[in-house]
Amino acid sequence: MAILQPSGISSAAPHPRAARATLSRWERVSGRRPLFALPWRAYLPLAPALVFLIVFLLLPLGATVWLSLSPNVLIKFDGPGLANFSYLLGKPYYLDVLWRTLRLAAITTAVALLLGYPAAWFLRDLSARAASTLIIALTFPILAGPLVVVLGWMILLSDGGPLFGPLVRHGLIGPVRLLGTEAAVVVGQVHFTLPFVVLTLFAALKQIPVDALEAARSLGAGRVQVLRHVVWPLSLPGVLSACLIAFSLAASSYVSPHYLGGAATLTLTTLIAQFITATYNSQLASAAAVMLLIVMAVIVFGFTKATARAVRI
Amino acid sequence: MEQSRRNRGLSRRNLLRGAGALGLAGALPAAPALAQPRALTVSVWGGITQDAIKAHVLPEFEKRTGATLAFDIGAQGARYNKLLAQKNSPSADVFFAGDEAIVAGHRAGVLTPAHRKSLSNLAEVAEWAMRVKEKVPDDMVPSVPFTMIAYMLGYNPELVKEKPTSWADMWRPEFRDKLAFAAPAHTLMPAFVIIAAELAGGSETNVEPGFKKLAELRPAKLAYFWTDWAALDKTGDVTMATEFDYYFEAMKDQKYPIDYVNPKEKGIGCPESVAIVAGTKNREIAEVFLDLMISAQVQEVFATQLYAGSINKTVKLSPAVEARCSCGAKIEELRYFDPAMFADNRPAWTERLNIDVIPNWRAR
Repeated sequence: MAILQPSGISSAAPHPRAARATLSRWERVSGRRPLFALPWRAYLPLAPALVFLIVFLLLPLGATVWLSLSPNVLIKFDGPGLANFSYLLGKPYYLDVLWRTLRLAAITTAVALLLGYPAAWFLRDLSARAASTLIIALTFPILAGPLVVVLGWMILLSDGGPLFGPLVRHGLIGPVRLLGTEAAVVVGQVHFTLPFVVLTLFAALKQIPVDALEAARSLGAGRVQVLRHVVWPLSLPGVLSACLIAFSLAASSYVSPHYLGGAATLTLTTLIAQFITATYNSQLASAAAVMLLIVMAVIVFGFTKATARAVRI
Repeated sequence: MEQSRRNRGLSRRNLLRGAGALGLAGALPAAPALAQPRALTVSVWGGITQDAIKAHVLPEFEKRTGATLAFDIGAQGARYNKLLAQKNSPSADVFFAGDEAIVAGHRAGVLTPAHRKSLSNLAEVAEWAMRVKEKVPDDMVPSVPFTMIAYMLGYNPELVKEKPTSWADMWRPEFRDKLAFAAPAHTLMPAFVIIAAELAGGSETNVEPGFKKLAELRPAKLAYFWTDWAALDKTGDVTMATEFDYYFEAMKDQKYPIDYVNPKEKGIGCPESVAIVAGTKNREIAEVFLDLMISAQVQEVFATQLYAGSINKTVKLSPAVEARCSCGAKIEELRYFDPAMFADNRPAWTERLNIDVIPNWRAR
């Protein structure tokens, strides 16, 4: 087996201990660490996290996948099999639910990015104290949790509520119907994902060296040109990370679709809840959950691959 | 200058420090709990039902058992699924639900019958209220009923000129996009499948016409709970609604423009029961709790304060209270469905509603 060696070192097959020593020297030279090249003791710090992940993530996930392959009260077949998935994917209603989930997540991501980018740029230039204060205010929805946020929007967006009610009562606007619609769901999802987007973008924008901006200005670039040719390209890795975070959070959101949406605007998460709480069909619920997981994995992987070239500076 | 501005700005290190501090603050363990007295965990709806139990059952329960009550509140479906998920180690000791869930719970093995000899008030329970007929040993009962409520047809008397008299009135053109209707996952949706079928020439055993008939409805709002549509009643965006009678009475007390009728095809009688959770370690005090729930004192309070019909035949209610709850002669004016039939058909009917009916509704 050819072993990549810095010059001056023998390329004959080394003793395993020597190979590890050689690789360690190579690590120092290249800065890269092969995954399984370390002594087993080096992996001990990973053990608690791995055990936690296996017990509380992989095992329940495995149970969910097993359930998704099992027959149920609605669909009888000799399990395990894919009949539950065929059923869900064969019904236009459920395809609509899947499409609605992805569509609302995409809209949420776009809106959060449009709102979050200027906010992150503004934060970048503030003093430490001012930025800290604003960031704490911004992250309140995360600390308070999605339910508190959504309950507030339920009051604000309700027909005749404090937001539009006075305007409607005085004849300034016509009746506004938001609660129970997809628009209300997007509002709730944007509110919750916005802090994540802003913080991610803030960290990315902070990385942009001030010298680059000064250099651009000194060469005659105006504000828009600086933004377009310097700031935006350099912030792309952060933008793409923010998009992935926002999309994932929105697509897996339950509280906003449940409380701000309606029974007629189900997303995959509220559909799963309906399968469980109304028809006690945990097999179909698991199939819908696995479907969401696979679709999200494909989208995230595809998005990352498709934008890899744009991110490489 | 720019460099010093940058140095004054929030650095990534400080940002991470701040985020870490916030996270640590959130993760700080709560003060250790003091030793707790023995508690019976009651799985029940929240709101007025929980409040009534706390106010009128808890004091006597504590006196008799020395134990207290803890509550696991939520919608019936969610609580029932918790029982299923925690079958081997239930966190609740008693479970409040409609009859269908009680039947399903016994079949799933998450509920267990109570001993008749532990229920001193059982002889006072009206025979019509004992609707759960699951097979249990002769010396036991599958559950005890604790109230009778009815699902009725409400309307806004300020905006509706011609008072409705029939379930068929929901299809009147004036109520298109003005109706608040039970959501597909509502407890009583199977009843409406049957009612719609009968209105369209079908029957309890031939419900196909019912799905077609329901697809012609145009509800504005699909509701699980009265608060889902109450604001729309005030604004006039909903002028007709289906809801439980005791919630209509509560809305009247709160000055909502609402009234309701018992349709000529009969309103839907909804006995609600409480059962013991299988595997409970508190069976004895659970049976004390059940006995209290069917006692005349508690039944009278539930009727007078919640307008929830009494199931205890010794309870004498004033005419004013009787007029506002499903009590007395009104019991005969309600229609009762077989909870076992609901339990058998719900999964398939909910699917049909989702796929064939909901897309036509365009409701919120």
